[in-house]
Amino acid sequence: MDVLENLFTNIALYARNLLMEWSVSYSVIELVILFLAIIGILGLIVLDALILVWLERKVVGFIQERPGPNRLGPAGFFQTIADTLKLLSKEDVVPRSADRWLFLLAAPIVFVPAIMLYAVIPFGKDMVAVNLNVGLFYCFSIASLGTVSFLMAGWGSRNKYSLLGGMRTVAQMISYEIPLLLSVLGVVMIVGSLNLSDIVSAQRNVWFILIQPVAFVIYFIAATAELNRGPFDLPEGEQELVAGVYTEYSGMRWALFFLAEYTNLVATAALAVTLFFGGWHGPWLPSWMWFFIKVYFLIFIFMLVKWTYPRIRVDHLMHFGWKFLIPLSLVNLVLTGVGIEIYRVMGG
Amino acid sequence: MDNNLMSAELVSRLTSRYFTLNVLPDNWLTKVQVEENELIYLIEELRDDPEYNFEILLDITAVDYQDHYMVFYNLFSIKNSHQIMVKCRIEHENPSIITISDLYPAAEVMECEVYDLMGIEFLSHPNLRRILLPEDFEGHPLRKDFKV
Amino acid sequence: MPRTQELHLNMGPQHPSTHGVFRCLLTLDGETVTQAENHIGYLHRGMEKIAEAKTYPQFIPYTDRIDYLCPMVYNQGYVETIEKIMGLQVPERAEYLRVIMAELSRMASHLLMVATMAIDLASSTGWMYALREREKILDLFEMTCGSRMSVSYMRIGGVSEDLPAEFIPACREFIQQFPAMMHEIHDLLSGNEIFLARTKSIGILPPDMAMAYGITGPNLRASGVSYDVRRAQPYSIYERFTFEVPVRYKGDCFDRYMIRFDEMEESRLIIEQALENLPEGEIKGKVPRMIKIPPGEVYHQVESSKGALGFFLVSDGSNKPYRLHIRGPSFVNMGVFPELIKGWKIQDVISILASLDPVLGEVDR
Repeated sequence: MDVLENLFTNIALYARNLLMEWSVSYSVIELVILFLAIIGILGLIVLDALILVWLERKVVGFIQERPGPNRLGPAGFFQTIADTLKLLSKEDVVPRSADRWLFLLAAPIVFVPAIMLYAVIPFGKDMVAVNLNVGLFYCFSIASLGTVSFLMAGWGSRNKYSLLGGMRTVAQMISYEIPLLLSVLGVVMIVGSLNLSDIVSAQRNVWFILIQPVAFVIYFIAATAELNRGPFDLPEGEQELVAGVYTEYSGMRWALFFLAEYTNLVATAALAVTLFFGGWHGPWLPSWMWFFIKVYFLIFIFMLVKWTYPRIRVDHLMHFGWKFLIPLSLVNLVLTGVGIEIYRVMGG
Repeated sequence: MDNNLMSAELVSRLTSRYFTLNVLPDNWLTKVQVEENELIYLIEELRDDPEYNFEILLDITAVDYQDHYMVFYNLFSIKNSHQIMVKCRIEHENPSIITISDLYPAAEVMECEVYDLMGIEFLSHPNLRRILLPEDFEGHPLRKDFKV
Repeated sequence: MPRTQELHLNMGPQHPSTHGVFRCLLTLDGETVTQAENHIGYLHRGMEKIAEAKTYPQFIPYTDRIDYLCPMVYNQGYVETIEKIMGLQVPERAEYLRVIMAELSRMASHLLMVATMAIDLASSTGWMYALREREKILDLFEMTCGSRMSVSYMRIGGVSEDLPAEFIPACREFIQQFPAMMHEIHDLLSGNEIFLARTKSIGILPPDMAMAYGITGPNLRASGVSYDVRRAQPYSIYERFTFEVPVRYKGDCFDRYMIRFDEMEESRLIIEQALENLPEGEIKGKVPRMIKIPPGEVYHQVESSKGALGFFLVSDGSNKPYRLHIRGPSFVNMGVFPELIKGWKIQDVISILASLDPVLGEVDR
């Protein structure tokens, strides 16, 4: 068990020792280790995306009483690989009237913040690439960068559907950033730290979802909106806006958006697990396994929601965000503060 | 099959009021023919008079009889459950007729269709255009002299 | 209210939710529609001109393709027009078969409306559920006439095939499990908070406006006007069945959606009665091999799933129609669309379009 538990930390230790033996300077060793961590995270992202695309299609199939992909490999598992190959071999079309640089850059740029999120997430015991003391703050500031690329894509495509999609994204992301942050503040108040590892270790005995259930619900809703997933998938808005910001994208550039969406999904779920579900804490199994079990369970719920609900209307979305979620999260914040004070007075 | 004829009294009221109105025999619905100058007054009365009360304009269509065109208006009264078909003969040269789209907004698209396919111009129609065929299409396909 | 620069947006002809090739030129202020103009005709096949070159029976397959979602009713409307002008008698059994098939077709069409309404509001699960039921109806069609969509089942003076032995049990089973399935869709969709917000009080069509624009069918009945050709001008053998003409009063998208369910329920009852009383006997009456119609003209209406479907036939005594005009209900219903969407958001345009349930094959003919 210990072998599994410490699998990744041991790999890092082994590499560190090896480099020490070759008498490499300390700073270079740190760089190499970081590099290894990045490779690991990238591998994880790609693997996750492969699994998630397949899983989503299977879950949809299950909800809609149809088999889903079932031709390639066991239960159609290799379908995603075939699709990726197809997307890779497709022509990279740039519309003639598009703003070329904005159009081309938007796709890679959307992907960068999505990866950067992973730097501070504790995947397991002692498994965090960068143990940042403002980890949570970092997460949200990075996550909101993604908005820029959507606006770039929407504007750069010079397509009216894309433009409308881009405008919707900005409006939606800015509105839902606020309740998202406010909902998390409750947890921060209880722990007294922005470091994600500290937040996880504070949940050794009790998960924060039990102390902060309202905050979790707000987080879940706001995160769905931040992820542009159904029922808040307005930027894509297939039925109204053809494909919204993605309308003009094809081939691998489109796939990058798609990949970023799944990367963000995993990151958001991972953050939710860290904040509300006790992170990697759990009995019997290795910590990182627990972490992924929880993450995938949350993702499953995200999928259930997406494939059950119709899409919300754009003004309802705004109303819901500003008139309901933000006041509710403020109330939650006040109650949390009062609760902490009472707990302290009671001599906790 | 039931018929949707108007009562004889209502029909005779129409014949007494419109000089050019002819009642044509039909088993299922009331069918009248009227000259162009009385058409719009007739249709307005059919719509507004509570005893006729034709709320719905079902259809406008036209037939090319080679020496003249005939335009057909089909009105239906939901309240009284009767139907009337008003026919109006127009000339073959430069066919045109007054629009009834100010009486029934439904007529707007129907008249566009007749104009498009049969080439009958509806005077003072708000937006008479080719509705089904491309704008640069030549000829009117439902005319008998249109070569396919 | 501040206004932004206006944006002209061509919704269609290539667009996922225009139910075919329909283009609506929207003028937008932000996301709000200020002006709209329909552009149709992308699917125009010249049905009325084709009819003039075909003999009377030859045109039957074309009627399937006018409204490919509700083909049986179009078959029925066309053949009944010819029977009406010729004074033909149709055998009892054939009349019952026509009614069963027409009502099944109506159910299939309404199910597709429910499905497209769901997918247009981005609930693809609702779409799958409704389509799954529609498949069962198409299976019944396939069983009877070998074709699922373009059925060409009816003939002048009767129908083409008698029912196979397995049809009646299969149809009974379908009828029996149908209410449970409707319940399933209601559970998933009709009570959903987002769905209600997207449909209730959206695109209200007042009754006088509906009548002025010549709206017929479920769309008119959702506005509170009880007009059903089956009841107002009974054709075929519809007087023999007891069924309600469902009416709803608000005239918004939700009523137009729900009235489809009410109608499916009535269709179900009609089919039940028809199966109960289905007589034995001939399925095709005595019809001359060469159908020639004496000069004259006839106007015949039937109730299709979209509204009042009219056929206007002018005959010159030959074996081909001199002129056949088809009053497509969707074509007329679409006339109100630009008026109806003014002032609503783009997303409402989609739900209003879906709730009007046009079929572009028939709009363009």
